[in-house]
Order: sequence, then C-alpha cells, then structure tokens
Amino acid sequence: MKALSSKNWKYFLGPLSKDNPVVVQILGICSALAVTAQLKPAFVMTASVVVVTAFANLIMSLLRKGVPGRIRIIVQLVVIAFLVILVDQVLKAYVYDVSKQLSVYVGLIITNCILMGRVEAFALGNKPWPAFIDGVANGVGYGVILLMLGFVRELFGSGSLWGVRIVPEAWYIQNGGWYANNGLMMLPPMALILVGLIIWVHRSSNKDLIEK
Amino acid sequence: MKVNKNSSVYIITYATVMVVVVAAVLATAAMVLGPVQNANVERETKGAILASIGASVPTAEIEKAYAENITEIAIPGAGDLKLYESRANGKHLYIVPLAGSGLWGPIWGYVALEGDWNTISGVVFDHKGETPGLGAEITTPAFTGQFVGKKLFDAGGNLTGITVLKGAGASRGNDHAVDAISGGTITSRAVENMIRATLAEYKSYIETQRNNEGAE
Repeated sequence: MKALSSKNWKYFLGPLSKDNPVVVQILGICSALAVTAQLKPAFVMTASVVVVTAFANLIMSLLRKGVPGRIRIIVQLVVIAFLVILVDQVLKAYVYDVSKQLSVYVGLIITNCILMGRVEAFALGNKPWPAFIDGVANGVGYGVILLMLGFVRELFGSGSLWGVRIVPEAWYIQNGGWYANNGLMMLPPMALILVGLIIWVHRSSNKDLIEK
Repeated sequence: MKVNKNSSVYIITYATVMVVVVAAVLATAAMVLGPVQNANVERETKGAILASIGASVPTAEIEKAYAENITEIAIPGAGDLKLYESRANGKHLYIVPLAGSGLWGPIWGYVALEGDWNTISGVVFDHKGETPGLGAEITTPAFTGQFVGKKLFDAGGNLTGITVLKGAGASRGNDHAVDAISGGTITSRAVENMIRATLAEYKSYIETQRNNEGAE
C-alpha cells in the first residue's frame, strides 16, 4: 500500500500553495477574518476544520456509490453538520476553555464553502484514502493562511503572540514610551487587507496563477 | 438485482436511514458527553465566583475550595435573587452575580464587594459569543483589573454603577469609570448596563444591609 504515492503527495501539496482554498479559490474568507484577531483561536479553528474536512471527505467518499444524485447536496450537508456538531460536543466536554473561545465559529464551520467544495469536487469522484488526504490538505491550506493572519494581527494589534507579551510594556505611550498598538489590526477589515496582500505576494511569485 | 438510484423509493429510504443513523449517533454522543459538559459548566461557575474574590484555583481543586470558602445567601422575598458570601483569607466579601446581554449573546459575571457594600474587590466577566479579540476581551485581566477599588455608589448613596469611557487612560482618577475596549464598544457598554441594571435589583437589599450594619 503506497500511503503517500506521488499522486497522493500532489493532492496534499496542491492546497498548500497553488490550489490554496483561501488565497487562490477565495473560499472560507468569512471565518478567516473573524477568528484571526489572535493566534490561539486561529490555531484551534484550524485544527477543527482539518478534522471536519478530512472526515467529511472520507465519509462522502465511502458513501459515493450509494448516494442518490438528486439529493447528494442534502446528504453532504447532513454529513458535514453531523461532524461539526460532534466536534463541537467533544470540544465542550474535553477542552472546555478552547471551545468557549471559538464560541459560534465552530458551528459556523458548517457554512464554510471549503467543505462543500471539496466534498462535491473531490470526495464524490475519488477513493477514500486520496479523499482523506485532500481533506486534510485543504484544512491545512486554510489553516496556514489563518495562522499567518493571526500572527500579524495579534503581534501588531495586541503586542503579544499566543497571549504572551512581545512588545515591552514600557514602550507604550501610556507608560511614557513611543509605541501604540494598531487598533485597525483588531478589526476584520484589516484582515481582509492582509488577505489581499498575501494574494498579491502569492500571485507575484506564481506567475501561472495570473489570469491573461 | 440492479437498484435504480433515482427512484423515489430508493431516495426516500436512503434519506430516512441516513437521518435515523445520524440522529442516533448524535443523541448517543450528547448523552455520553452531557454529564462531562455539565460538570464543566458548574465547575466554571464556581471557578468564576472564586476568581471574583481573587482566588485563582487550579481546575481540579475548585470544588473543594468553593465548599470551604463560599456560602450562598438567598434574599428573602425577592424571588430567586441570591448572592454569595466569602470569608476567605480574613476578608469579608459579598459576591453579586451579574447577567446581561452583549452584542451577540448573553454576558454574565460576578462582582465581589467589600464589607462596605460599595467598593469593588474584584470582578470576573464571561460571555457566550462575543467577538474573539474584540468584545471577548472583557474576560481578560487587563479589563477586569480596572474595576478593583472602583465604587458603585456615590457619596449620597445613589447607584452610579461603572461607566465605560473611550480612550486609554480616560478613566484615570474616576471612581465610577473604567476604559472601554477598542473595537468592543457595544460589549463594553453592555457590561456597563449589566452592572447598573443588576445592582438596581439588589439596591434595596444592599441599603437594608448597610443600615443594619451602621446600627450595630
């Protein structure tokens, strides 16, 4: 069993860069703006999305031969909602603090376009193992962007990373220094601007992504 | 036998079986995890009450510390209004539970008052779904720490509550105000309203207590 054949490896690497769900396919932007004011919620959101995309793809791929074509979208929704509720319940029971931090956004994974997109475009036409890899890869590709945003926004918006203070207290104006946090960083519009910058850099370094 | 996957019978059967299976698994999960989740919620409430009196207790010891330090007082003739009393570390504190609504959902908290029923000894806030990094910052020590030493009533005994003000340092030297959170204006104001509205319900009880203590 070639767990990571060259083809599967390609399925895994694609979503990380040239086929990235956020900066190339422009999916999942809403939650990418909402949960990235700090690094920690961005990370837990990433982990939750990876679990849901991976298993939604796996389950739909296993079911693909029996799903009636006419109600396949509804079946996909039920599977995704089922997984999200399960993840939410497990987070609430075993990592209660983290689940509280993410609040409504765990439930909103259901509406993340990446999920339906991957299930419809990939899982229904591929075997379970490649589908699982594709799910993990798209979750990670989404998460990489989230973590970048979380890093920049928390560092410049709060002067800390993962809740640990980076900018010394003494630098701040109210303590007699010269530094102030960038309030705009804390707001979703700045996250959108940052996503735009990432897309710009990403396209400039991958010429084949630029439309004629 | 070849099954026609587009026949109505197949579709209805498929959907029914799927829904029953999913419902059964989710119901089982909810039943198995329910007690664990409820224990988390209850432990969190007790932890929050302990945090309001400045005791930071590791999760495993919350039940024990709560039983040792906190007593519940039911206010007679006031429905289900209640408050808590603590005599931990030689300090006599009264803890009033707060409840209100934030931007996206409920917010709540506990405010611990000194023996004068006026000076705040500590507060904790929590919320159901305020925006992470913005409104959700009401739970951080940077915000709650500002309340320590502030007063809820003015010299004449009128309820002033705690007002939130815009701008870092705007509330400096003001006994009845704290700085609001940038980007979290609505949640900050919700905290202000919650404190004022809840304390208004307790006002008559607090006045009675103050008078009694003055008379003793």
